[in-house]
Amino acid sequence: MDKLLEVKNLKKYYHISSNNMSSQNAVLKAVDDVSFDLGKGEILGIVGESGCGKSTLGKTILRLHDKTDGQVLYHGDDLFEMKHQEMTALRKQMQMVFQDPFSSLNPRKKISSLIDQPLRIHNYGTPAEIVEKVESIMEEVGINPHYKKRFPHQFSGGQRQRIGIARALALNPEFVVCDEAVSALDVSVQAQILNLLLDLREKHDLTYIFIAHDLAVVEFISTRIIVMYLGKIVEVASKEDLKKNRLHPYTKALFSAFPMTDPHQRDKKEKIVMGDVPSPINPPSGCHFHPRCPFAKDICRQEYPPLKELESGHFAACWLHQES
Amino acid sequence: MSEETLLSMENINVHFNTRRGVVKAVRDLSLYINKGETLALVGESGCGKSVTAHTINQLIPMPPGVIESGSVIFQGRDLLQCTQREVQDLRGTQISMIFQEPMTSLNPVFKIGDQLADVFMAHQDMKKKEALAKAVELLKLVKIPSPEKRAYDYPHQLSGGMRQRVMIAMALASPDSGLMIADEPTTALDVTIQAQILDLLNDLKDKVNMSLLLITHDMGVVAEMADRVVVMYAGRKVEEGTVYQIFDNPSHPYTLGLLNSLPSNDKYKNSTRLEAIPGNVPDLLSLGEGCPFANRCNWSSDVCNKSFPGKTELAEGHSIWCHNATKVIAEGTKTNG
Ligand SMILES: Nc1ncnc2c1ncn2[C@@H]1O[C@H](COP(=O)(O)OP(=O)(O)OP(=O)(O)O)[C@@H](O)[C@H]1O
Ligand SMILES: Nc1ncnc2c1ncn2[C@@H]1O[C@H](COP(=O)(O)OP(=O)(O)OP(=O)(O)O)[C@@H](O)[C@H]1O
Ligand code: SF4
Ligand SMILES: [Mg+2]
Ligand SMILES: [Mg+2]
Repeated sequence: MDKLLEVKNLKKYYHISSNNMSSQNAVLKAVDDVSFDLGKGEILGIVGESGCGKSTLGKTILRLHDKTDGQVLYHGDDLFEMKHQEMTALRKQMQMVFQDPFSSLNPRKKISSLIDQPLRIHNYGTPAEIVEKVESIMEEVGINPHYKKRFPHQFSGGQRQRIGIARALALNPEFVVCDEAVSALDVSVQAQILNLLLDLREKHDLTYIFIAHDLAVVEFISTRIIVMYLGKIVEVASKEDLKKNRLHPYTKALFSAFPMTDPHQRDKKEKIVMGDVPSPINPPSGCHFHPRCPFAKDICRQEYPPLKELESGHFAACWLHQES
Repeated sequence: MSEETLLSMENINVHFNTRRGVVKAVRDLSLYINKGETLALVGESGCGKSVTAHTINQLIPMPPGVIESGSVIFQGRDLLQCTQREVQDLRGTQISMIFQEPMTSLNPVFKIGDQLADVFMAHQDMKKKEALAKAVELLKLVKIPSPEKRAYDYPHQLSGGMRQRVMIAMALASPDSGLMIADEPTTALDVTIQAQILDLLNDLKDKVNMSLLLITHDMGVVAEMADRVVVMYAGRKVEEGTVYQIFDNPSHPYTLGLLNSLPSNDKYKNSTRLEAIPGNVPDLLSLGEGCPFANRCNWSSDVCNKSFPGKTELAEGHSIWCHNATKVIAEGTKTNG
């Protein structure tokens, strides 16, 4: 498989000025030494509890903000080494779809000018060509081009998400990061949007990173899944391997907490009791998961376990599966 | 009904007079909750779940809201005929409520122990010291670690999951919680915390023998918690049954579509597309008298746009409201796994 993206030891730290008198700045390691490859055509799911760094990782990969350390190679070239002009050209290739694309957009702008904005910025073509393009994209995402003079508030949540996707696709990107793109939608509409994303991928040969807190959605759509905990990858595997064999205790606990949609299973399910997520500032020593882990041993409290390939293509960072 | 009914709502109609017109948020809704049972009220955003809950509690803002008709019988009394005062007393003692966002219902400037103690002092005539001791006891019951210390924390010092547990403790402060209404109690939380809160609610239900009206749009939560289920669509009840009837034998076109839309459905193990319900939820302002699902329904016929269908009983306790019930039942199960 062609490598589209190589992420190498990527770090994104935030300096938090603590509000007490000591005035010592604390460091929050939102993304901490993350490495993985992304093949062309993959749908890479990212899951983990709130605050584990999913969105920060997605944005840093697209260079929507600065990194602290590490590399992001896009077709072999380091994004963070690129000059402004190169980066602008590359932006066309890489897009992001957010939870509610309109919360950050001008409510007084018509749909047509919201969708053609990226086209104009990147000098897509003549005004007539731009109009034609806008209409064809609207058609493609399932919004009648008839409605192009309407304003965002005149659309339902599902329709707004379609328009957000239209905006992201206007410049024919090859790589799209979907950050909770279907999370705000009702299930029946969510299914429509997931189908749309799959259709578009097939048609335009797209590669996705798909961030969501709904594990069923991620398991359905992804080809491979990354599980994150406090800024770090704790497990990566193909969807099938991860279903068959969850190696990291956190992965097990996370998936077992997710309610199954079968009432006959409810008493059979193995219940794993876990405390709350610790603060990401000064995370626990050793394996960050050890205070919540039922299997923690001495070494777990002392040393962070490396992310190791335990089976072909299946990585986990856990001392239960390796020696120090 | 063989069991003892704790609450029954009959033919509730709730409207809101807005600038754009009359929003018929809840239409002809009837439901009951037996003692000790968990009833899940499910449906998409805006279908009238919270309005239903607020009708029980008299929390509908009036105006713009109007409870046009209906009754809410709780322990032999019609709550809609009670004075505000009487309902307030009930709210403190026998009906309690947990909301989706605990931060909005906890006062940020008071310590959580004091807030809990206040509930005891208001409704049970307790002295401060005794009330505080009770508060700590409750914090322990909802599994807050080191409750003696945590009682002196302010809400912002707790995690989201802990705040939701404090809310539950608050709801339990009433001496005998007859009915707990939980409106999306875990929607804002991580699945790991959600699992703890759901477990806690089940535990407590056994301990204090309360009934639970659980409002959610998450079919996973329903499968895990409910004894019985009421499915709503655009202000109407469209299907009702035990949790097993609803999941094993969903029969209304909307319920079928809803369960088919779930990516966790077994039928999608080897397929790459979901069977989505086409179209969007209708605007309540432009809904006529017909079946509100008609514009998205595979089985709709002329009559569906004209009147709302009557009830078809499929089994004891399992009913749907659909004009083409016979046809849907014959064909619908085929498409459902
Ligand atoms: N601009 C910022 N300044 C300081 N801290 C930040 C900033 N952005 C994110 N963080 C912190 O970084 C961590 C990771 O945040 P991030 O938004 O990536 O999490 P997430 O996994 O996307 O969570 P969610 O599921 O809630 O969206 C969190 O602890 C967050 O508080
Ligand atoms: N104060 C109000 N004024 C006008 N309309 C209202 C008011 N409160 C509720 N409504 C309308 O009544 C309908 C039902 O609202 P309700 O809050 O019960 O939905 P819900 O099922 O709880 O949805 P959600 O899952 O999003 O919480 C909605 O269309 C809503 O816009
Ligand atoms: S009444 Fe008609 S439109 Fe409504 S669910 Fe039944 S068949 Fe469909
Ligand atoms: Mg995020
Ligand atoms: Mg609601």
